[in-house]
Amino acid sequence: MDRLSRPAAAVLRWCARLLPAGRAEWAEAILAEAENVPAGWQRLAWLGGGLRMVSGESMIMRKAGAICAFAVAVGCIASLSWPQSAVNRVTVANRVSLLVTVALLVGLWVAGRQLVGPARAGRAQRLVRAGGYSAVLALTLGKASVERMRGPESLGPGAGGLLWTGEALFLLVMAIFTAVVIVATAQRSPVTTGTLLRGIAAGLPVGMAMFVFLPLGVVRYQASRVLPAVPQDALGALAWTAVLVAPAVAGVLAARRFTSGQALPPAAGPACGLSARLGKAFALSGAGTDGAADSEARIRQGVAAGLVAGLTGAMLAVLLGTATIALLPHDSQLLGWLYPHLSHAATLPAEQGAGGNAAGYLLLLLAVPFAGLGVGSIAALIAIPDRAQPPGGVIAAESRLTGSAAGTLAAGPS
Amino acid sequence: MASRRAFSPQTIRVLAALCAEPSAWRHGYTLAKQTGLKSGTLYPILVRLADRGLVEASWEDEHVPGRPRRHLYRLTADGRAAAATAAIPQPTAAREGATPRGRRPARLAPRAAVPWTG
Repeated sequence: MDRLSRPAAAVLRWCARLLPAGRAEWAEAILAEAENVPAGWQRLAWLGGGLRMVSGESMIMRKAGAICAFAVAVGCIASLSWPQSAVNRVTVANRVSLLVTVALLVGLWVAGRQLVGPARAGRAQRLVRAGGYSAVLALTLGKASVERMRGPESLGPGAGGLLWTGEALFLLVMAIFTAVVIVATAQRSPVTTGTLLRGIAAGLPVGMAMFVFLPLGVVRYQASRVLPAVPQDALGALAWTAVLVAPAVAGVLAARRFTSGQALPPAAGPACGLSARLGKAFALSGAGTDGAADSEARIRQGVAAGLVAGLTGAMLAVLLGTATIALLPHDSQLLGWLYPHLSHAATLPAEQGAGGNAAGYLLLLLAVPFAGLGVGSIAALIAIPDRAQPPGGVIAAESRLTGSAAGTLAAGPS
Repeated sequence: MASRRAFSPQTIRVLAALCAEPSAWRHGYTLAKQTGLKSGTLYPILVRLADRGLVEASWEDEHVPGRPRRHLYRLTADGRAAAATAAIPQPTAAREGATPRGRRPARLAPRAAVPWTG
């Protein structure tokens, strides 16, 4: 190697370490081939091309861009939700909440890389991760803005415990949401791209329905104007029905459409009943028949789709609701649109009431994902027949094998 | 499995260069000269084609003193089918059977599956 190219070759050799295992030999190939390129500028250009390949394949620029975007977003949120004046219990709680949220996002990302690998290379997974992180940051900003609208009772004696309990719950929910986003989009995730997209597709209309009709009525006045003939209670019931039906549909579709062999090893032993089958689907040891493994893998997809649908819907509804409430004091047009029937004097109590009610969204964020998880699980279990269990039940199968007549008496569908 | 996605003009140039002698192992620099592509464009294309199973890559088994072993490339059966689909002219049967430079490179261990992201 000539003097001109030697430093470039050393840089390329060092940068090749950034490549994933399957790509490193391509950098070695360029280095080896450089020996056959005429010395001088041509060889230097050849090695420069190698650096360009390493940059693209290791996705350095994309990773650097993502880190910069995250840092800028955190900086913006800190500057917006970190008022210089009026430092009280609520602002201290918001500052702590922001710091812990950022630590959670970074910590879970690092832990996720160790446990389930980095993000999958697909566009859907990248978008879901970016969207999930953006949603958590946006909600943190929205929550800080909304909490400034709370009435003086939140600063009174005895309110501190409630405030910090609320913060802890909020952080717990954010941690669960972030963990699900990271696991669902990781390289070693059992959740397929189809399951992820079906869950999100089912969750988005649920989120919109909840935002419009449930639970705090921020835009219910407008909804009643648009749909005057339909009673409010009926619209609310419709939204709750959507909350339950959409994850079930996503669960059934994800379970039935699952075709690839991404199943985790199934557990050993017979499993009867919905809960036993569900437990077996998520057990990590043991071995079963091919049919049982396929059935369990399908159930896992259904459960995951239900959870993703619930989380997507809840997060969308909470984001839209919190953002609407946070904008009320700053946007008179929005205020007039939402509360056209209120006099000027009554708008401040309305704003404060909405701000206080925003805490109810936290409950929505807790309840709906679990509802999605449960409904998706049940729907997947019902939709996928138990192939591990032969017709007539497990005991019947045993009796057929052993020739025992007593076993047939106990046989029956589980 | 070959993707149905359309090839870029640069990829078609690489496929055409490989298609000229489909069973022959080719070096990266030779391909760069034939296609007129820089290494920074050529190698990502080869990586994608290898990921899709259209090109197989191997290190030459013969060690020449004074220089490292070179990386070699040729079309797979899927690659030939993909080239035919992309309307790249196919070689005659006589040329196809030729083995250049009398070398049989050592086969690599099967590469870990890398998802196609291109």
